[in-house]
Amino acid sequence: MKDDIMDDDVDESSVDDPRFRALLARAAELPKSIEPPADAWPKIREAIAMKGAIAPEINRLQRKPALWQRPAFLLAAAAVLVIGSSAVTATLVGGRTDVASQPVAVTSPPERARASGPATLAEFAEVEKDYIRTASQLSETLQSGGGTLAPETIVKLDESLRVIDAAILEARRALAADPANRTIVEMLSGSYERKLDLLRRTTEMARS
Amino acid sequence: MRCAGSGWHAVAGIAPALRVVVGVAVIGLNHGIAAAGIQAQAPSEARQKVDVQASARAQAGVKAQSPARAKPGVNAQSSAKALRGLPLNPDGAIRIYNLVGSVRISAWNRDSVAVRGALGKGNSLHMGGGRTGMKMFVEGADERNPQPAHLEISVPARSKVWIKTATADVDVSGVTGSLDIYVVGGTIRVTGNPADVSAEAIDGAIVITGSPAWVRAKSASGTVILRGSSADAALSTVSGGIVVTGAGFERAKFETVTGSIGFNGSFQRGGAIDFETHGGAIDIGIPSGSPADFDIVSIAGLINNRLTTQAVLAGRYGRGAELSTSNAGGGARVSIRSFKGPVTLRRIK
Repeated sequence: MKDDIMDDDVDESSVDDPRFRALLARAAELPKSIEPPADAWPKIREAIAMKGAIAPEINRLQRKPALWQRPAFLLAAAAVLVIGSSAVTATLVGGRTDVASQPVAVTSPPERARASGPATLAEFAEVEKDYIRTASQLSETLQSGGGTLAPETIVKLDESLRVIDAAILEARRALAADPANRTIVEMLSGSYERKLDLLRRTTEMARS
Repeated sequence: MRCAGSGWHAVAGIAPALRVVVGVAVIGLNHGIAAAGIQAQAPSEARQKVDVQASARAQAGVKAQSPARAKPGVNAQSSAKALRGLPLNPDGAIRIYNLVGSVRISAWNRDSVAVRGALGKGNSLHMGGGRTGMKMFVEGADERNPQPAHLEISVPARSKVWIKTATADVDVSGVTGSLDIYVVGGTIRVTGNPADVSAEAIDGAIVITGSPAWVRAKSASGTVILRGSSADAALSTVSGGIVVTGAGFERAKFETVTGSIGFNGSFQRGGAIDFETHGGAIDIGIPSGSPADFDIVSIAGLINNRLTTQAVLAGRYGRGAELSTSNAGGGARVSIRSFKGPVTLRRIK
């Protein structure tokens, strides 16, 4: 830094000024770089995650370009195709899977998260990335097939998604203020699960 | 697809995008259909061409206009016209697609399926399959503006029924087999004691009256109502409410985001019941003899205990409220969690 100053910005006559020399000496003692505060990254990550939680829905409502050209849509479409074809194959090969034979446990993903899932904001932030990514993919898949839904249904769906997003936002703020509150973490996970479930169900209904 | 796959189903599943005309030979109609007043068709007349591509189009054309929404309570006896019938085993599977209008299913003790109703202008009914499984759908002349069709279908009581609609009300009564019902916009009503019920709506209410052993009911903006009992129940909505009245709940989960949850009933000793909401009110009324160990947490809401003498505590994180209390000696785990909605416990007779 000192060399840069000497080369570019300083009048040569000022180099002899004792005050300037003292300033240069102090500057030379400064470290070349400093580490960010230890707690900075979780806050940055939280801010990114919050932006990511809201942005997909805003974008979904605002943008109108050809989705089929986007890599994310192509990936989602490929995933739907693979899952759909697998389901058909499983159906044809395996026949009916009797509901009564399936585990009828009421245990939901939030309950599973309760047993082994995140307990703090920092831990939840990692899980949240998956929620947000999945929700974004489902939203895009739904949008690509949304032309088969009646306009009034789309309005109702958007209302429901906004309700869930508002709940997520509120719980997220509460968790930021109380990052070790496991109950909030579990309820936040539950809200994300409900959002994904609604998107999945609607996608299925619009598709078939 | 959860119903049994016949050859017809297999073709439909393998090549839905191809125009495949499948001749479905109907061997004959049994005494049940004849007794129902539906004329049996000769095999040649009963041979139906089922256009699989049309089926796929009909399934995909979900768009419907709200004025076409079905009027509940179609009078089956006055206006219904006999349309068709086919034999089906007592525990056979049946899949029904009707985009707009209404579907009314009633069970009978015969090994056949009979369809009555009013198809609506331009619609045609396609139906085919074998004794183990069959499929029917209504195809409209204008797929972008489907006309309502009102179907009244008699099915064997133990059959497995799968129904999918877009904008239509669905009413099922008396079936003791399994029910899968999917509605985008419309009301689902189930009456009786089916072995299991899976009912999903986006913008519609779900009303279940009876005692299904296993029930899953999901809506987004509609209300979900369960009157009766179920050993294993999971009900959820977003902004719609949940209303539960009954007994015998061993394992249950009731969830909303902003909708209220009302429970009037009793729990089984050894049961596990979860209530969860973000902003809806939770109101639980149980009789004095219903065993329950309550564990209640509200992050930012109030808890009103009118059931026991246990005092409500301030939340452990400095806000909200918590309560752990037992009724009738305990024995059923009842977990209640609310972010900001009020929670009320009260006694009922």
